[in-house]
Amino acid sequence: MPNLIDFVKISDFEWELPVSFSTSMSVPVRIFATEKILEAALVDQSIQQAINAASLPGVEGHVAVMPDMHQGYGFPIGGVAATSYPNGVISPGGIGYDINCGVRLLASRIDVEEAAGELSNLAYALNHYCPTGLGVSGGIKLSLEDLKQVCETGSNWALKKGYATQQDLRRTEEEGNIKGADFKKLSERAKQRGLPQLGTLGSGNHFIEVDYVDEIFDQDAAEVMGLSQGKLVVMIHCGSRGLGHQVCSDAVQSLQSAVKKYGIHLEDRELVCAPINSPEGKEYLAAMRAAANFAFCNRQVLAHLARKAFKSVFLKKTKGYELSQVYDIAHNIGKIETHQIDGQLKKVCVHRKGATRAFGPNEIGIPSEFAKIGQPVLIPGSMGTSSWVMVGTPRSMAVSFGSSCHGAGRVMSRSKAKKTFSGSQLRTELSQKGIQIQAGSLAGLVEEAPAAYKDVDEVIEAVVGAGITKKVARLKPLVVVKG
Amino acid sequence: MINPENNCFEEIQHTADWAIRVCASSPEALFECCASGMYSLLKVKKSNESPEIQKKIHLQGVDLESLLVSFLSDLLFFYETERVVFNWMRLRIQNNELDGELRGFFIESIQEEIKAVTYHQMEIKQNAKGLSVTVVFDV
Repeated sequence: MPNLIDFVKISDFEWELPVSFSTSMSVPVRIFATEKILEAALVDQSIQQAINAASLPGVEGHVAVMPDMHQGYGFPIGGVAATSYPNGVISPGGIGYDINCGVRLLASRIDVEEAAGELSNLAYALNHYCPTGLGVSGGIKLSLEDLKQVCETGSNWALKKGYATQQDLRRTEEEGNIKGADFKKLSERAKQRGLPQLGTLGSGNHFIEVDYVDEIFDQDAAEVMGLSQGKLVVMIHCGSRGLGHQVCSDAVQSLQSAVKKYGIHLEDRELVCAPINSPEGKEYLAAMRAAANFAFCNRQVLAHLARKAFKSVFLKKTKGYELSQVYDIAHNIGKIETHQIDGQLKKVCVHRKGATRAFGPNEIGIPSEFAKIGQPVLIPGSMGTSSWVMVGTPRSMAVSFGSSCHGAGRVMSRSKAKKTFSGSQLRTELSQKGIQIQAGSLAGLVEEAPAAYKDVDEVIEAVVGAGITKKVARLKPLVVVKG
Repeated sequence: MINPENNCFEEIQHTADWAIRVCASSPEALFECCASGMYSLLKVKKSNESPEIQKKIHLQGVDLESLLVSFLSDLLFFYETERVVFNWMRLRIQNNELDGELRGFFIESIQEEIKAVTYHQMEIKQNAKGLSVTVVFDV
């Protein structure tokens, strides 16, 4: 395990563990963090997991690790690794079980003061309209043909059904439809799990939150995004549900024999992988893209349901309750992108696991209205704390494969959180801050206690200090709906 | 609940996910203890109206670890899609193949959720007392 002295300090917010640290490493590990965050990360296995990722066949440049890093399985959460395309490998464990877990932000024109008396009703309405909770089904009823369309065309399916607008799609990563998805590559189990779950939130750290824009740091960018000081916004955090979990489980299992076939040595079996251009690699890529499309469409349907909830509460009370999409972004995904690496433009497969794409201005793949400001980066904080709207920068393209952090990052295990905090006390504390909570279980609420996470504002200072994202607006929570 | 060897599993700390360490005298007992540990994390509660559910499974793996991941993943699938858990098992493991006869019940409701069984740091180790393994679950 490395110590602080093993890192080369590049700046107050950037550290490098050179390849000389371990014979297994093919590339360095680059950490974007303050010294305090880096030191804290040395107590769990996050850095070791990044070192393991730095040994993957065909890994390019360096493995980037964000300040919200924490120990995961295989890859660290907050890790970004780019592998050579098409001869490098793709690793399902480097993307995660919740394929295309991500965040969507919707903006209203309702002023926080106007909404003050309706927050309790709003919490109830969101909980009523949006199916939440453990193993929950109750989503939109799908036929097998519908599911195929969802997986192969993503949010386009929702547009055809009247659950989306053109702007929603334009302001979604990949326009909500990653090409190359193949429904035939999904197992029967993945289909079975996906059929009842479109338009459901799930449990764990997934949530729907109503916030207000507390402070704006970049007026021009906020204006382009449709954000105004004091107005209500809605943040949706969820992923591909059981369908995505099954796709990853199937791939991690089936690739166990592929690593033997291709003579790949692994530091951790959870890093199991296959060459991207091998039959096994292509099969996983097509299935992973299908799961990613399911997730885009899932958040789209939830956005549609959130719009219904807003309308039910505010129709007769105020104008401006329509929710317009700011952006929708994945933070667990594998994407084929072109990046400048070691002075050369290279096509790579970027694995982002708990890391958000953060493309700078004028990059291909971002909506035209954001060309000048850069791609919106949505960073939820822990429950009851600030969330942030940021934009990608030219520097993120240069040093982090166009990526930034995805949240606050856990520091305390779920079991310890349950032992340390009381559900009813937490509910009272949030209520005293004026935050309305609708939660499936008190135990689930306690697992997400703010003190179980890093301070999101410190994480934000680190990515801003490193220059890989810029602040646009800070959001403060009013309503939290959790499974 | 199944618990063929008392105190055969313990929960261990993991920053973001759940993990258990399991010790048992044989592969079959180890697998049952892992199932027992996983069900314990899931806090399963029997439905009052449940008839006995029976199921037979046959699984193949490239080694004992992959067989264990397959086995626990099967149990998770039945838990999520059929809301069934098993409290009686007869397992036979030979040459990286598992034949299992399972009996169980419907649960009242899902109390906790596990997304997947991971291979992270998984290695079934033989020691003087038998076998041990650590299983990390993505939650």
